[in-house]
Amino acid sequence: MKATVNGVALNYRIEGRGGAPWLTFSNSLATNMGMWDDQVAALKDDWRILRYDKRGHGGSDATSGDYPIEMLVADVIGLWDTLGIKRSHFVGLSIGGMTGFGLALGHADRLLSMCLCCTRADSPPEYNAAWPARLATAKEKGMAALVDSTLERWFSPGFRARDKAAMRRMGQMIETTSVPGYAGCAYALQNLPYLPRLGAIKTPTLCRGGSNDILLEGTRDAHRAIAGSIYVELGPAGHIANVEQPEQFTAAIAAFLGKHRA
Amino acid sequence: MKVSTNGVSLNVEVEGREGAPWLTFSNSLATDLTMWDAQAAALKGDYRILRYDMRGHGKSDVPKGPYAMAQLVADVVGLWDHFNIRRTHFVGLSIGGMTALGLGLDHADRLISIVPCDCRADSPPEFRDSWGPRIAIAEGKEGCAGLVPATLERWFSAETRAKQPKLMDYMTRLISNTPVAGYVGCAHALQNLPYLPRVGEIKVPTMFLAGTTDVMREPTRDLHLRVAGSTYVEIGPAGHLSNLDQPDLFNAALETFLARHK
Repeated sequence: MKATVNGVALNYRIEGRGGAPWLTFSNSLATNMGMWDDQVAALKDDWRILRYDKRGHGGSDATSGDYPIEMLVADVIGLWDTLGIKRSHFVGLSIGGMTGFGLALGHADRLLSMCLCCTRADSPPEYNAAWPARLATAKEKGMAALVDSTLERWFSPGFRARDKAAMRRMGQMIETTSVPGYAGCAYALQNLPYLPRLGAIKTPTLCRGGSNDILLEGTRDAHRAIAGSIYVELGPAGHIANVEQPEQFTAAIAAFLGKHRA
Repeated sequence: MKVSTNGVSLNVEVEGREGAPWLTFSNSLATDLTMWDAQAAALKGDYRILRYDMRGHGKSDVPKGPYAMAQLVADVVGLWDHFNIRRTHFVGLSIGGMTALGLGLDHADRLISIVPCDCRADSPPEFRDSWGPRIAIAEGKEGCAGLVPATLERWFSAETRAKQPKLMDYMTRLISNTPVAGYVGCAHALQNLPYLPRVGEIKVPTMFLAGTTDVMREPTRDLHLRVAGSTYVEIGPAGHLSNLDQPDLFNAALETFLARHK
């Protein structure tokens, strides 16, 4: 399904049990809603699930220019408004998790709880330093040229060797991401404003880390900054921890959600 | 129920579904088998559960120390022989987790999987030396009751201590009631942990689990990196007794891991 909200046509899918509390999933950079297949399969009997492709990703339109993180936050609110979703649980990974920070800080009344995975709330110079080269590659050679190095960054070596099907699936997500979408979101990643304000978050929060993820420390920092938050780390797991450790990932979400049902 | 094995009479509880795979729990220093109540309640529908009080603890006998890890390992094998348990999952925390490592190395044929929690495999000088003053307190006129304040501070965060008076009362009772000779006997085992050079040889399916603020978090992570194919789950906020701090997350991770290795 497509809905035009906040000036962009977003591709979304609704699954799960009608009447159950809403649970929204938000994908990471250079992936799409397909990254949540395992979680949706495991949780759809208990929850009403909304997934969407982030602006510039999957089947959603790619607008030109920079995407500030607040624009991605407004996309979610627009989708919820259009679909009549008053309150929802929210699960986001990486830029999806960053979107969660913005929701909790600007729209806490719409959230039942959130689970923020492999993410961070600020953009220090050493983090930003990696982006120009990636963006140059994407613009000059296309997304296909980023597949190998990205998979290397996202998954532990053992998993890459063992699960070729997952590598193909994730590689295809990278390859089919639009260059403007990738570049637009990369702007958001380089300008994350939330770290100083995390202490103001009151929404029940689960922070999820991958033991070999480059954003592990950012995720731990978020846990420490958000009073009352819960933390679960999985290993071995790189950046896309829900794909590398689907069962443990889902088990922790289910345990957390069960405590904050509605 | 009491079982005499390996020269000691051990207090044992067997529960759960007859005919289901065996699951053995091993307690930490200065506690007893009741520390696993929440896990036994959650898992007894799917597993046949064996819990015991480690020698010198709870209602088990208190042989004169010092105890060696090999002795604590032999106690478990003796119990398995008594109940004709050919193979079992094994979950242990702290000294119970160290026992898991010994079993994983020397009795792999009796194991379906191991879950060592909040533990370490060596006794570097600063760790070894930390036990001298504790042994002195235990052998002083207050006995193990004299260890309560410092032990609770080491095991639980300030927040947990403030917010969970019932848990603190329970822990105070467990620590105070631990026989001095049992505490000292096990402390000697902790001062002489022999497994680090060999942990890489562990081949049984293994999940390491640790609390975010546990003093043994780093050593536990390090063990995960040394045991090829092992899984690591960290939960928080949780201190040393991570199963008591975060029972729901602990159970979710444990159930998920065990189900994978039936």
